[in-house]
Amino acid sequence: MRPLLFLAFASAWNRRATLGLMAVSIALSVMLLLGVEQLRTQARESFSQSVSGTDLVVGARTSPIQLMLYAVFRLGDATHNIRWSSFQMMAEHPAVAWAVPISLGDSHRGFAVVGTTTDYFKHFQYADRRLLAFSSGKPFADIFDAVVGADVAEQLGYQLGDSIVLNHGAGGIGLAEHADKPFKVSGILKRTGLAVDRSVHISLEAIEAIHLDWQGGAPMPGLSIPAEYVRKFDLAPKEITAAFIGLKSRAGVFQMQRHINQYKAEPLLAVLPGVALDELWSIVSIVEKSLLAISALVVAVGLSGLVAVVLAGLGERRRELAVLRSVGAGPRVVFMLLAIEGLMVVVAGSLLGLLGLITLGVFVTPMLETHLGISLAAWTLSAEAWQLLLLVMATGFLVSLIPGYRAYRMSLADGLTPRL
Amino acid sequence: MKQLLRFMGSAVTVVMLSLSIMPLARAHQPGAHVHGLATLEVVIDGAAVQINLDSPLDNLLGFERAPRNEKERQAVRAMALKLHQAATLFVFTPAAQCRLESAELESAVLASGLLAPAADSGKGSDTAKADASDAHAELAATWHFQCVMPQALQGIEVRLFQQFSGLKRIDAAVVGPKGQSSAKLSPKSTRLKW
Repeated sequence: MRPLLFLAFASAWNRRATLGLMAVSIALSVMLLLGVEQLRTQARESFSQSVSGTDLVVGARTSPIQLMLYAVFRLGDATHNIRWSSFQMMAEHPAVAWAVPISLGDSHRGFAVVGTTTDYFKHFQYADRRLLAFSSGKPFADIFDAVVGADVAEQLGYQLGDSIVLNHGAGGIGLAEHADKPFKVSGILKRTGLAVDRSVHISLEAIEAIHLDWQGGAPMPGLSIPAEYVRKFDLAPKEITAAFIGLKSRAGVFQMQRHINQYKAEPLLAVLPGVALDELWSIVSIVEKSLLAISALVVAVGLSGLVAVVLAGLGERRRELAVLRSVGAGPRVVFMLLAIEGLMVVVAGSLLGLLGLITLGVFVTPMLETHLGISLAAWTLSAEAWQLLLLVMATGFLVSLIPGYRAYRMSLADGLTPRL
Repeated sequence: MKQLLRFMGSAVTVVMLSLSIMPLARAHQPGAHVHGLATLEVVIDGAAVQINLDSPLDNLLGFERAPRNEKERQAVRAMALKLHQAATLFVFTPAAQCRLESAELESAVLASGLLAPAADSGKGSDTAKADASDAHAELAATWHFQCVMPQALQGIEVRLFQQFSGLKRIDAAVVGPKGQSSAKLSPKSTRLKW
């Protein structure tokens, strides 16, 4: 077997340019297939981890999916805010164990600013009932304290005690600044892989405070309330964007949902985050499936290209195979040689594709994280992805038996000096 | 001061009472009303399983008003009978050994007497409620089950489609030990898994 392997490799090496290109095209198709699969499974994983500890997400009446997207993943914008009194109604309900308000709308150099209460750090759960943890510092205590997520701290190089200025509105450069009221970084959160990593957390009172001397979306001319005087004003929040709710008992969740949805004083929408996510997936599953089907087709194209190249090469190799036959190689050996060659190219292509995917992942993941809030692990392949990879290799081996069979037939028919 | 305390005490009681009563009422604000479509809510909490069904009456009965003659009254009783036999509607993982504890049916246009488990017209009233003939009407059903081995419970086979041909699709939401999930059921796919 070993000499056979060596022989197959040496022969393939002789035609390395063609076969190498073939391996590259298989690598690209494998990369596409696995990439689509990775994106699909990991996006689901990442999304469902964000909401695993929350029973209900409440916001203004809109589509449940949209509410989830803006409240949990900071994708898109809220249609309406909800009143603070509505939040208090929910927070004080006997079935509610904890309620965390969030207020969105401002940003800090492209990162979302989240107004909330310190309960956020006590109750917000993700993955398997994990709580947010601080890598340094502590929750905000003063009005102008801010807690930054891991990505914010890393990308902007913030440390405890640093002074930051928030922007009014979401977007990036060119927005009005709350320059008169800078914040101090009081805590940095550990990495979670969620939207939390890309958020700046301040208290709800701080959101009120920075907008005290603003009117109609701009600072009021001639009026500026210095930071040290804002405490004299009523900073009680008047409205929030959404709320996360945890219940004492899971059993009451539909009852509570109905109670909130039928709240008379204000139209509210309570969604079960897990249910809304499943609805979202059932909508995107058609796109996912067609993407997978397209990438599977690309792999099929790659593999048939391989067969075509090896088959075409057979003509040139008639003499080589005839020589092998003359020194005692049986037709079976010739068959094996061809099969090994095909397998080598497929395996090399698949591994190359895997390597390419990981390299690409290293560059693309941070981009996906900042723009879509999806965190991907470049290294870990899901069980399904491994299965797909094995399937590609097995199919590759099977189709490379076709030229093997051709060569077997030919070597039986041809003499030592085939007519070329 | 004492008076103030007493006043606050009674105020708290009133608030608590009203809060505890409120969620019980499953009265409907105008929600979506789509014939053929029903919603199913399943909660698994320890050994207790609760299933809520909300459906336009048309799916179950063929009309959405109080029955006008004996034939229609009979149809309502037949529907109630089917809904009370929960074992034929929901088939649990056998190993979990789940048993029906209670079932309640409620509809704004149907008299409670007609919806009672043993529909004998002697008890309760089966006189028609206000006949809102041009409005749509729904039926809310709630079943309570108790399971001996809840950890063995893997899923529920929903057989509502076989019993009620007017049902075409069920949007189901499940809250169970593994978290929340949702599923769209149809006559071709009737299994809820978690």
